[in-house]
Amino acid sequence: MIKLENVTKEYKGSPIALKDATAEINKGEFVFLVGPSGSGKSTFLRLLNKQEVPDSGRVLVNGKDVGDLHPWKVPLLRRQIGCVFQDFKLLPSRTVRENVSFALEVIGKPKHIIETQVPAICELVGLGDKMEKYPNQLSGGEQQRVSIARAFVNRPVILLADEPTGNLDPQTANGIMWLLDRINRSANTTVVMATHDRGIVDTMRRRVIELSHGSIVRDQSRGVYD
Amino acid sequence: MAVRVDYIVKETALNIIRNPSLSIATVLTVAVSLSLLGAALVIQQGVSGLNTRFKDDVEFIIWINNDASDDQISSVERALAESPVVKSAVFITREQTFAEFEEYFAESPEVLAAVTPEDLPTSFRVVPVNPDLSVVEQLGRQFTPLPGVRQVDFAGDYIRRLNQFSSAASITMTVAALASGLASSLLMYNTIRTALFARRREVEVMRLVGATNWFIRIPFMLEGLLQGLVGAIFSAGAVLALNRVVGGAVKGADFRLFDSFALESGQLWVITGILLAAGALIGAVGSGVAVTRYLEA
Repeated sequence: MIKLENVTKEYKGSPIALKDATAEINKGEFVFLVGPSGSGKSTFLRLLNKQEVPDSGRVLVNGKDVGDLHPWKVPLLRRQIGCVFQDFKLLPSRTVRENVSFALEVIGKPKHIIETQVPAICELVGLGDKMEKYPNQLSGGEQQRVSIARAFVNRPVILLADEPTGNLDPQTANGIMWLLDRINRSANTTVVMATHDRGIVDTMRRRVIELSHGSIVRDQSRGVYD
Repeated sequence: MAVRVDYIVKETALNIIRNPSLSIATVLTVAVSLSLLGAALVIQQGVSGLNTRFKDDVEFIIWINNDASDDQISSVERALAESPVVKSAVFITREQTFAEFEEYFAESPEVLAAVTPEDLPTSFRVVPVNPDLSVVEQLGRQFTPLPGVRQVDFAGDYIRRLNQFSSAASITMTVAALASGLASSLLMYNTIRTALFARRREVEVMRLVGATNWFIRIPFMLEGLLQGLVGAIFSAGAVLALNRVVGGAVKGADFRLFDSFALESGQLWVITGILLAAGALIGAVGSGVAVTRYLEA
């Protein structure tokens, strides 16, 4: 499903972001990327949906070399990959329903699909009764659920999560993890999640890829934080 | 993937409603810049109209006595043709003079009714080789004593000065029109960039969920097009008002020299069309270019 082959990425004027990284992630896996800030976790994720291109090496998604992708095909790649962020990236002037609908509208989905999919996904993330609220009327955990609904409403095969619990208290974070776990198990969605959260990693006991200064230093199935 | 019309209409409307101050700023920017452009076009049209009337370089007119014989007329004609300092001379018949007379007094039918072509003199309109005033006057005086010649009228220094002034004005206005067009494009571009900066998160989300670049651009471009068009309508209104004021002043004066500045409706439609097209184009292209900055993958 996802394959990195000797990938190196460097940003000008910064220490190397990713150094000769090789990893393979299969369909339906749940993988934690762990490591301190600046160890290359975000770069790893950003390479997968071509927000970044590697300096050397290859990134394959669904068997296709992302680097060879025509620019006009990049949106098609991104439709298969949902994204969740630490800061949610919700649109403050739109309601929950509009935020989630937006993701389908801008890829040209027909209205009748939007009208059935959006309430269903909002129900799934537990916000069926808050669809007409605006983001600033919701708690942090609820906002992250909206962002997960938006990322998942188009049924992507891969879900990337960059510190999705970074802004949340432990109890709320557990709720989010429960939701991601459910998405992973029920829809066989591949989930790659970068995190600092030791408690979550140790509790979930899923595959752990540890990065340090851009290198993969550990790759362990059913692993712990360290 | 079909581009949904209802989505685009909704997004465009929402964009405008959610950012009223920036929409107003954009519209006003376009309106002011295009008004400048429109005024430049009006003046340029006026100047070129002025030039059409006087560009023939007619420096003096030899009026022939009504009772002059054909021999006398042809001897004047010969003298003109043989003179090395006369570039060209055109004979104006009574009918031609009457036609001009009719145009001149179009709004005074009582004057026209009192005159027939037979009452009017024939004339030669002369273009000398050297348009210098003293030379022209000297040349013209040579024809005054010829038999059959009633009078020689000189175009006069002031018309030639006006002519020089008007060609300078024409160049200045063309430059001004280009400069104001450029300025309005840059202002539009900046205003739209500001508007987009306020919405960079929206663009970011669109990119992340896999919207194509054109899909992202279209609502922004349509919004820019509408704002440009509304601004252009204001500027067209300003130009029409300007023309009415100038036209009123010109019509009120007994000096018909500046009549060309009161544009005919055909010319005004052309200018209005140019302004609307320019507004729409500046708005759409400015938005398209500005949004592209946020689309780099």
